[in-house]
Amino acid sequence: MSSLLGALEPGHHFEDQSFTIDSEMAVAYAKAVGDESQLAAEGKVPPMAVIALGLSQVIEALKLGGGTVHASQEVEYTAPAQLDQPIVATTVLKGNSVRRGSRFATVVTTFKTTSGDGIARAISMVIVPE
Amino acid sequence: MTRNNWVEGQSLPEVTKTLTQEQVNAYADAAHDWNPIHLDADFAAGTQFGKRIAHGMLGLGFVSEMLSLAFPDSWGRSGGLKVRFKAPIFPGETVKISGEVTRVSDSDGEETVTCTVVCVKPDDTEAITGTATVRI
Repeated sequence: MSSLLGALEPGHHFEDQSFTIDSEMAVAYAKAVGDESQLAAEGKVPPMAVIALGLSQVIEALKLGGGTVHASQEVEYTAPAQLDQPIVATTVLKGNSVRRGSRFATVVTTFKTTSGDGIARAISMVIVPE
Repeated sequence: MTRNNWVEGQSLPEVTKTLTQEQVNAYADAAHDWNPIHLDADFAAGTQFGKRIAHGMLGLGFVSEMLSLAFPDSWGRSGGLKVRFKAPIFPGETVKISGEVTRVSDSDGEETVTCTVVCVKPDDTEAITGTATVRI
């Protein structure tokens, strides 16, 4: 179901999303990825967990269909996320076009603390069957 | 050698992963991404891939793990990554994640290491390719 995305123009600002990553979530993420870097065990947030959870929220907000696949990803970190720290994700639709029967959508998400300090910036392209 | 000992041509610590459907299921819960293309065999059978595939971000988690191992103090603080998902990873496959330093620069007392990163499937096709940059 890409009808919501189909109605949006590049530049569209999505409603900010807020989430926290607690110790249980960090460990669950690290276990799922099989992460042996021990970051979660040391009480730190695995860096990609922030991006993964933020992207999931975008996908949910867009109500993207089950055939959606990930085409490309850019990430820039500016500070490590902390456990139990509220993270605010602000997402803007950067690109939205249809080619060969599929919709290509690019979103830019910035992750900040509630006080405005940067954590990361991500650019995600997904392909959605039309 | 630079002060952090990274030199062009140097390999990053290789990571090898054998992906299971149970791991994909656990990742879906951990990342809150329950797209049926990853979880529902019947749904996935009707897609272009014909069977369930791993989340792209799960594969990227493997790449991130390699970068965390290579740059434990810097990756999550000042790292950057740009990748393409070129082919899906299927549960049951063993993939190798590797990287190579392509450039080391030093400016104003800050070292920047640029690397290629790649996740390779058992048939040697590339699942994920890209570039990582870390300021140390």
